[in-house]
Amino acid sequence: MVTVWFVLAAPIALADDDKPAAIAEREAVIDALTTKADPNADDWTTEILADKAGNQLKKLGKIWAEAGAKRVEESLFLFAPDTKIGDIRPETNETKQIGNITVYRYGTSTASEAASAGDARSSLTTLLKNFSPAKPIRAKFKTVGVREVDAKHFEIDVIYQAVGQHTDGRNVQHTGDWTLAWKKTDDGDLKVTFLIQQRLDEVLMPPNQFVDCTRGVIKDDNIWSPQLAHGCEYWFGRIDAVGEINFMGHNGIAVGDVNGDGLDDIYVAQGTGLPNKLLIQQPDGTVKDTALQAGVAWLDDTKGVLLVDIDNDGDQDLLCAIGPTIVLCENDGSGEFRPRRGMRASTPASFYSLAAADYDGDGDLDIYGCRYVKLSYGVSVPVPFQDANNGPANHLLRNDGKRGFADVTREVGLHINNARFSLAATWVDYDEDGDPDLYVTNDFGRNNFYRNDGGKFVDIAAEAGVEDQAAGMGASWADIDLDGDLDLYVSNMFSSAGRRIAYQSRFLPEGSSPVRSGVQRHSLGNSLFVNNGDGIFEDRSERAQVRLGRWAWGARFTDLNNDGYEDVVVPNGFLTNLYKDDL
Amino acid sequence: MGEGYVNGWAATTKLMAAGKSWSGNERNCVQLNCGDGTFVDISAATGLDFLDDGRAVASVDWDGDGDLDMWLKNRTGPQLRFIRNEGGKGRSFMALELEDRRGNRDGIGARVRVIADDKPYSRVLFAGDGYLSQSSKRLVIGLADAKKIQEVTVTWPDGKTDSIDGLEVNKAYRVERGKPVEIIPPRNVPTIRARAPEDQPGPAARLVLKVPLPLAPSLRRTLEISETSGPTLVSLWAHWCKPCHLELREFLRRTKDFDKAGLWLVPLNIDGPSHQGDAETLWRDITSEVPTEIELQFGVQQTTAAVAALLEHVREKPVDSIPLPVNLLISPDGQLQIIYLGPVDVDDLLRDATTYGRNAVQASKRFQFEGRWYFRVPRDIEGLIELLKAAELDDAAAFYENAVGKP
Repeated sequence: MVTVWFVLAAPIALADDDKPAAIAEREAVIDALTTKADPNADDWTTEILADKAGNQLKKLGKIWAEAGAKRVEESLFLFAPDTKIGDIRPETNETKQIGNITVYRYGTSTASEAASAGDARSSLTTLLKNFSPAKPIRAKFKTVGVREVDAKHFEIDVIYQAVGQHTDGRNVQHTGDWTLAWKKTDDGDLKVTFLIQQRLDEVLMPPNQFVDCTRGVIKDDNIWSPQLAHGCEYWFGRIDAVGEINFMGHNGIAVGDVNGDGLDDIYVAQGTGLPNKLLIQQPDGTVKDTALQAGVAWLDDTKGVLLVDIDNDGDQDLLCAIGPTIVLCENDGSGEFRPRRGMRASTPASFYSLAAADYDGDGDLDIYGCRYVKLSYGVSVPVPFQDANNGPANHLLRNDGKRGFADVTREVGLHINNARFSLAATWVDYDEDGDPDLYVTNDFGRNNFYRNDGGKFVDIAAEAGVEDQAAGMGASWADIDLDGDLDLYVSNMFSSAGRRIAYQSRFLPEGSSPVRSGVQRHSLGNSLFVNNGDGIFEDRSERAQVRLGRWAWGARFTDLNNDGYEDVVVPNGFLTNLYKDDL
Repeated sequence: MGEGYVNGWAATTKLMAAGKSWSGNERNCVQLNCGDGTFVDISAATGLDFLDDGRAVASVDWDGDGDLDMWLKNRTGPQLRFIRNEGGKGRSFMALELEDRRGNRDGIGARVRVIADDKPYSRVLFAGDGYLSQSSKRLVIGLADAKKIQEVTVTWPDGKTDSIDGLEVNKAYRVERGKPVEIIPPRNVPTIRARAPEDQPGPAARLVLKVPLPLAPSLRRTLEISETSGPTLVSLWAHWCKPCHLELREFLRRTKDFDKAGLWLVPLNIDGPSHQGDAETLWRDITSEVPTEIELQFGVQQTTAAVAALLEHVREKPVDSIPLPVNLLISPDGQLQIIYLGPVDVDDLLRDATTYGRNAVQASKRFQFEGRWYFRVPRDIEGLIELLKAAELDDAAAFYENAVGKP
């Protein structure tokens, strides 16, 4: 058992924990709201329409999932006999060749075009012309907007995505934005009468560019089958729930060369009861788990982890966020560790992501730790929801070498705007003045962008144009346009339901417009901020087409095809449970 | 305003606890930079659109072939994936590892700029970005079809810039500040394609308590646990539970082994009075094949309530009905040590009886998996008291209230 070695010297005085309404009273409200998850039990007519139209589109998806030449013919059930679809794949389009990836971009088809265009059969045939009839198509339609026109007519906005195979073996993917007009027939059926396209992207790329080699690298079945093979859904109920239950899966990874053999290794954090893994790369690319003998097989729920040289002795030390404590384990140079310090915050909120940089230019790495909820999900309620300011404090820990770490959050000005629900932070010298600045991504509201002015910080998120008020979960920086300055990508929540409801005129009619737009912004999706080079960023999210990141956790820039332009990978999905009736 | 959303958030949490999905079944996204300020969705075309609850991603050229592979960490199983990148094949690259002895030795915060084919590429060395992720410190820079490198500069974390000459495409270098660069010998170990299989729900669970739970005397009575010198196994069963019958037969067949381990078996039927006859008939069937002196015990209404409360307390998961078979291993000092959910392997059981039934087990060794705990967290006895009260097990609740020094 390791004792806590070191308590933060100057704990930050936090605002009182929020005091929610009496539990009994809230339970009653909760019960009333839980019944609303079923759209048909809801009094939102538009949600019922969205649900019914969605079911029709699911039927279409099922037809496409079957290989066969009759695909188009069978799809016609969806359309009224006189349906018009615009020319959704006109001859004139934009073609891009990016390495071995071909991208066709099609723009808007107008209503007048649709009226004069061909019927559903010919349009669908054109739409699917690059998909091999011999292969299944996986198609999905996400309804992101609903408008009731009259008692018999309504429109929905959908994001359409499909993937299949070209006859030449390449993968084909469609992503499009469509508006579908619907008519309720006399016998209660729903038919599409109109399709207007905002955009359609078609991608053709060779298969097997990315190969899942997980079990080729992790060959040891002793660490795979009893542990890594299973997710939180499996472990929830199979692990003593003392401490944090093994459920949410906020457990990170860090890559670094732990034993100095020139090969990168990986440290894998796990939930309560599962020992963290130190996977040491062997010369043949496979791994061996040495966590136990290396002294870092922590069984506590571990969130953010970092491998960095904290003491400048030439090896990679380990930082683990375990509950409200950042645990420093010192590498002895061979890949074995000794726990040196536990830096414990003064309140029980857990640390999430960690980020290191030398903020004060004294030649060693300092650590910034994000904290998210004061107690736990659902108990610590963000208020107000779209701009919450009742979260726990984040901490900046200054590395004072042999004297340990000092909490300098207040001293350097990082106590300003420091009661958000923070999930991640990145250090980056965006203004190239020789000290790293700090971007903090917050759920339920605005992000912080602290400019480092020689060791003192000023939050310039608003003036730089990167507040990005939303459900922020992560951030990544890259020069996306090769203009020499660094641009910012923020991962947020994208929720079809949130988009559908928050844009209805009856939604929050009494709310002030900042509140309304704040809530609307909440489920809009990812953001791309392009650096103008003068310290101001421009929100190019729509134009750059990066919104649809779904329930995006930490999107990260990474150049997937070595063309020098950094692409984005977005790990995704919140909670998938045994019951598949997603909310 | 806001109250509705606040409550909505709490309501969603409640649904989650009841096992519903929330924005689940969402696939990972991949957006390709088109080089003109726009991106295009290639999630499905790359095959990286796994149906995992993805959390973290780290980039690293693991196999040394000059493009960025990735590790993905998920909430769902498989919890970890390694993805080999073949998308950089045939394109040029350059890789750099930095060391800065005048600043932080890792060179975190340094920025590398490369000009090739008149295009200015750059990368920053981060320690922590995205979400809960840290990528490799070896910076791999894709250079499209460039054959020659025109210029390389490194801006160190303190803002000072060094120019580095003589670097070539498709090579990896070590750059120590102020020293001549070194070539890192090439390495290319293609990892083997072997997809991580989807998570399979397991039928059984061996749930070792991190902190053993002393059972209140009234709970011990309800569970028919008597004073013994060895450990006790309370085996809960019902007349409709076929696996329970098979298991009881097996237990009785191995009576000698049970005796050797000092393990006392309590077959505790929880059918209730209306099916007591069925249970007795079944027990006669079982014991006619495998004669025993062990007596069948009948639980009362409180038995089911007690087991449900214990399960909910230990697992923090709502218990709608007791998922039989359930076996409870209790050490001689009356502490609940292990809960077996579903069919149990008798050899495992006997091993556990020997380990947990005699001496106190060292905390680091007493869990499902070997490792070490950083925090010594006590059991949430207050939570248990609430559960017991709700189940009208007032004697037991009073016992724990006294134990934590409450009125």
